[in-house]
Amino acid sequence: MNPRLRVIRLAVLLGSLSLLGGAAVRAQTPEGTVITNTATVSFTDANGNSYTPVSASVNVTVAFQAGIDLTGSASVAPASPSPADTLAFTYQNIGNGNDSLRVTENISVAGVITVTGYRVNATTYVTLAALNTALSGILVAQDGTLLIKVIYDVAAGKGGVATVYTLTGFSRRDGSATDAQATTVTPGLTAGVAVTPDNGQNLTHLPSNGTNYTFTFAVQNAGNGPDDFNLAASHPGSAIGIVSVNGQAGSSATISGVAAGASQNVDVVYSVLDVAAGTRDTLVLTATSVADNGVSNAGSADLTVIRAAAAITKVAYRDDQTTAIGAGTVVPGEYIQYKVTVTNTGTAPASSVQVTNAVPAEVNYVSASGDAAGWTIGFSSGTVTADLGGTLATSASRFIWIRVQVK
Amino acid sequence: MAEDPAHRDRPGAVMPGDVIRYRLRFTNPRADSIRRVQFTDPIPAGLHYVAGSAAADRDDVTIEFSIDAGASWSPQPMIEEVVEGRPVKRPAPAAMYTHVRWSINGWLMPNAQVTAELRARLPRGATTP
Repeated sequence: MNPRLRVIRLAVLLGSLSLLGGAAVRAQTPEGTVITNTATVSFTDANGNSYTPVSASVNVTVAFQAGIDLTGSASVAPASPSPADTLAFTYQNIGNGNDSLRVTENISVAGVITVTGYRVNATTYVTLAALNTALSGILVAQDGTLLIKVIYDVAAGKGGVATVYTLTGFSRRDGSATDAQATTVTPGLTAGVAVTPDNGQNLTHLPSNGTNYTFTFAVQNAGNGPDDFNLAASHPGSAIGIVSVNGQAGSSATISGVAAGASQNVDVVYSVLDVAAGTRDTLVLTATSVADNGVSNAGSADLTVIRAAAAITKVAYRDDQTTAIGAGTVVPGEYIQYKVTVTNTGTAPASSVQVTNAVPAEVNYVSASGDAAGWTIGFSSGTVTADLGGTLATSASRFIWIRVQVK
Repeated sequence: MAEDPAHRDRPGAVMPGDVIRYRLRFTNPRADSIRRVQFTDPIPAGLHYVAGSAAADRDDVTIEFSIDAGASWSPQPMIEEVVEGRPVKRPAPAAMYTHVRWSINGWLMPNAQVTAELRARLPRGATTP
């Protein structure tokens, strides 16, 4: 406000004034206060005779000046969720006369809090309009105060999500007089995380030999607010090599903005080293809350390294393929049937199985056949070669017959 | 804070922060000249004298101030403070002035006028007795 200049003329007359020395501080000179100024003039005549002093007085009246001061907490930290929390605002009339209040409100981030009512004195008003209607009937004296409580609920899953509630007050006598108080509402964040699964998969893997494996973990935000999580993949044994986590090369990564209760799948790509069959190891993914580094959880997948292995047997039979020659003898010109059997004795299916058999110099190769479809058999340079198409399952056996004639 | 126009425009009304100019005019009512004309104006309670605002329309005027309700006068009232254990005098702030006095040193002819004036502010945080 620009100060005004008032010109007051005193005509001059009489009076004696006495002013008090002490003064008490007030916020504002009250509206309606009459300020009286009395000036006095004295004089003498040419002969030095004194005359009764004369004085003049003039009055000015102090007009209304609005003034609002709204105070409240700068910040609060309710739980999430929580019902019927309150924000307390104190309105003080720092103007110089009676006034009443009108208020507006603003919430910076939607969805965190829901205002359910407003309490003045002992009465709760459900809507802002109802509150303002009530406020219009409450006259607050100069320097007087009025407590307004805003009742609100905090939504679930909003831990750590700040919103600013601003209450703005306006003088009803002078609408341009205003003040605002902002309170930052930040629900407390309780971090939590759960990584699954937790072992029991009994994965079996061949040594990678260039082929990587992928395992998918689920990382769930078990806290009460959105959070970020640092991820670290590890393994206690010697069979695994970590390739990437959630698409990021290496053994660590971070996932951001996981809503409370939400779950995010995280792929861990890994290799199995060239170790012995039966080697066991565990793939572990640990997630740690960024909001609270003391909160973490791990999921795991256990695996065993498998490999294929082959054993071969060879038995000589008479030409009827039934009678084993055993320790018996053969005579020149007799046919011998060799039964060559291959067995997968490993823990993984075998592929590209090939049997080679050099025919002894004392016999002539006649023919060869497989036990069933799948064999590709050839004879060259005194050696029978039999390739088995497809795979040979664990513990499975296949065989071929090689018919020769004793020279 | 804004003003209330309804009160603002009311004659004789002032608001906190306003400056009021008081003008004192004396006319010699006698048929002969007078001298030792002296205006005395107590600063109304609740107002603060505006430093340097006291003036008159004649040159032969001595302007003095009191900070003790007229018990003593000086063109520059002083107050005493204790600084580091020693009394130190410094000019009194204008807000402490309680009275202003204009003393006309010459003669005032019959029907002649002399005008004095001062300004005072109604503080936003006013002091009242």
